[in-house]
Amino acid sequence: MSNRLEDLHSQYKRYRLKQWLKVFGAAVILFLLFGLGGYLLIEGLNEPPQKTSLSASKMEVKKTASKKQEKPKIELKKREDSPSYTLSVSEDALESSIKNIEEKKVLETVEKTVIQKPKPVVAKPTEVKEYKNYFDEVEQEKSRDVWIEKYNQKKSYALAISIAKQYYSDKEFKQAGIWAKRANQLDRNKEEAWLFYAKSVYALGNVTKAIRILNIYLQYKDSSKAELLLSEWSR
Amino acid sequence: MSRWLEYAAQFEEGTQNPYFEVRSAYQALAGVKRLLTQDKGQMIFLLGQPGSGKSYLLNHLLKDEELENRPVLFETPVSSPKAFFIRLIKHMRHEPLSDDLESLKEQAEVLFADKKTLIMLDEAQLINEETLEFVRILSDSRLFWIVCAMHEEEGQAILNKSHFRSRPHKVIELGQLSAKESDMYINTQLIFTHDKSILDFHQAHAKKIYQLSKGNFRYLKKLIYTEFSLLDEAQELGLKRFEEPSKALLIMAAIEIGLINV
Repeated sequence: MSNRLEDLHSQYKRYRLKQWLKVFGAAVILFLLFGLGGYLLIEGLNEPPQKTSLSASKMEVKKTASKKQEKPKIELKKREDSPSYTLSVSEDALESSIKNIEEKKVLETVEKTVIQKPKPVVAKPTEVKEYKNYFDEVEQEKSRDVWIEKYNQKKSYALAISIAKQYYSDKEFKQAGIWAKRANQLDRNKEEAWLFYAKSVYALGNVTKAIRILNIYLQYKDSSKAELLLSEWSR
Repeated sequence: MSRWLEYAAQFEEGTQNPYFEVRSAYQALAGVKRLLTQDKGQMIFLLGQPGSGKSYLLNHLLKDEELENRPVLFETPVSSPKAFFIRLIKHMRHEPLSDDLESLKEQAEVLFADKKTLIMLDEAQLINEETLEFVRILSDSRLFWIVCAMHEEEGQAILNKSHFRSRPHKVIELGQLSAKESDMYINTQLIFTHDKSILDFHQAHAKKIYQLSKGNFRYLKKLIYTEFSLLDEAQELGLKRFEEPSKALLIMAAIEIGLINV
């Protein structure tokens, strides 16, 4: 082969190799891109089931939540049966109040129980109890004044009901009634305020008014405690 | 002469061909002719890539018998205004009477006064700025129509200069060959070879040929010319591998003329 043709042919081979490498490179890149795309697609397709599992778990949570909502029903019933409530009332009174509750179908719907759920404002009163354990009377007055001052700065149901409880425990029923009423005005849904208001009025000797208060509350909400008190006072 | 060299001769530079069936060239030629019919002479810039057919178009105008103007072609660039007039005077088979520019100008005007003259300057991008400016002023005299054929990029750069921008002139651009035109040209040239296999091969590879020649008329001719010259060389050496046209040979020809850089 002549030098010219030989040289050109070798250049041609080089050119072909370059072209092939370009095509191969492009194919590899395309393959990688498709692979990556496919992987992402598969990942994307796999995600929805996870979402469904999440949603399923959410459903479960919802279910458990609803179960939790239902729980108070049972607990309340248990409480009704529990002897702690019967400590202050007689067995007859308890039976009659249970009858009354059944008649009114206190825990008919879930919604009603849902409303009832937040009822127990346990935290605050326990503080008062603890306070009671550690401070003497003077300090109680001082702390009560501090609470009242706090209340004057910023009105809140928790403070009002706590003050009412303190007065009630100190047998200052008039003040207890006033503060319970204040608490009640701040949150009409809270059972405790209604009960302390009624109890304070009852303690002051105004039974009719106390019964009326509880009846008003019972028209507004179902309350086993109010029922118990009513049945006791009506005897 | 081998048959391959005979075929190659069909694509030799300057070979007669049906060039003016190419649309862009036809349009350019029609444009120049239209401008020449106007009373007022003006400078015409013919721009195109190297190998786009500017020189061929000027040569076509030079031989055009229908043309009313007297055509004068400067195939090589003039170095100065004096040289320009001396060439003009010599074109009319006269000798310059003086060395003075004004005297030369007057002599030229007398010689060319009887007929409108078309002065065509090929490779005008190589003319220096002073001479080009002088030529431009001459075109205002209404005695001469001047066509400057330039490479596209350099021509655009000259036209962007302020003294050209502000003066009236016409620009005609020569485009590239279309794929169909390239195919048509190859067929027209090869049909006279009476070699069906050669024609079939080039028709089958028309797209590749167009791609390699990048739509440039000169490259196209050069590519096929080189291909046939390689076939001739292979035949002389008795290389059976290259005894017939092939795609590999086409690419080798493209490498040879620098269309492909390896």
